[in-house]
Amino acid sequence: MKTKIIALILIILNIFISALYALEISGMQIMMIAGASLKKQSVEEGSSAKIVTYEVSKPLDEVVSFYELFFKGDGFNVIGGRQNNIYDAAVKKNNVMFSLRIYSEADKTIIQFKW
Amino acid sequence: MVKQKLLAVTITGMILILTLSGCSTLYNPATGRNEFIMINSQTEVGLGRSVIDDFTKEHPLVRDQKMQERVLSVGRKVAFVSDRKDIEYNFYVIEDKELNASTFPGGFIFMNKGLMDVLNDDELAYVLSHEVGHVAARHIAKKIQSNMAYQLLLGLAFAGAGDRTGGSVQTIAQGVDTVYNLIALSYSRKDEYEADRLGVKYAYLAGFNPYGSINALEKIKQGEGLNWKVLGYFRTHPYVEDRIKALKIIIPETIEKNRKGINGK
Repeated sequence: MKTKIIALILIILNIFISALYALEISGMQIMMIAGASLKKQSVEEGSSAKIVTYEVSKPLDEVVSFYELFFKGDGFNVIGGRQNNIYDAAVKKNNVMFSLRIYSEADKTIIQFKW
Repeated sequence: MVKQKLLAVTITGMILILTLSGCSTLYNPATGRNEFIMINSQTEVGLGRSVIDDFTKEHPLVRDQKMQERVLSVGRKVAFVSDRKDIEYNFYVIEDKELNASTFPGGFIFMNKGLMDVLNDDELAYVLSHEVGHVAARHIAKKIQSNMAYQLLLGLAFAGAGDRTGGSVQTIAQGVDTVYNLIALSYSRKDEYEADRLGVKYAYLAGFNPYGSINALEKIKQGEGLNWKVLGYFRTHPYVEDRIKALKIIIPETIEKNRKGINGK
């Protein structure tokens, strides 16, 4: 019984940790930069697209580099990229498509996914 | 009953607040406003590319090289002074007698031969800069993002960029139809006035006579009486009478505001 409870706790912990460091979009795990916290989830009027926004206390450059490397290394197809102080891209792998916008707001960097 | 209605209004309000507060806005230099635009420029270009192939099959380009060069020459001048330079504008003339111009996402602008035939360069500069104004103010992108399923939009954008695996042939065709229909819808009065204001500014900064705008609209209006094929223009660019009145105020204001910029003082 005791072992079962420990196993259950570990499973719950595992789910919780993976939820902290990855975002699931249409069944695909998208890596989340360490330290990012969920800011808002919403649904866009009209298109019914889901928007999930995270914030992190890291410089914009670091966050952008992180995702550029992740997309490149994992074979994502990316349309768009960084322009001045904003990273704005449409991203696709297999049949999963979403857009990602990264920008600064006050002393935080905002990471916004839309699909 | 009253309580239920109150509850419904409160919940709707809360959803709206949640929906809007989660969205980032971007400064748009053309409109001077912070706006919610989720389609990045390259996605917009991809969307445009995925649609214009079909469009040019149905509306072939005019073979008259001089006419194509004319629209390109005037178009490039007004695009060069526009507020949006992160995309490459493309100008074409299509075989169509209707007096109209069509603009697709990503800066693909098509002039009908019928309209080209009746406009001088100042008037043409206004029509093209008005269309560039719609692109710079992101009117088309906003129309699409608020009326089209987001996955369909992304699938089309990737198809335009050469990756056609974002949806079945049927889905892509459905997306193309949706974009067509949205382009064929008329712009709002606010969007038309804004494109006129930008159009006059760009035409003037590019060295054309901004009063060509009034002449162009008057010609299109007169064409209606002469049974020219003007319906297309009125359908997609309504409020012509009111716009002519507004232009008479906008033009002197624009000249005054931008004179220094032109003289370099």
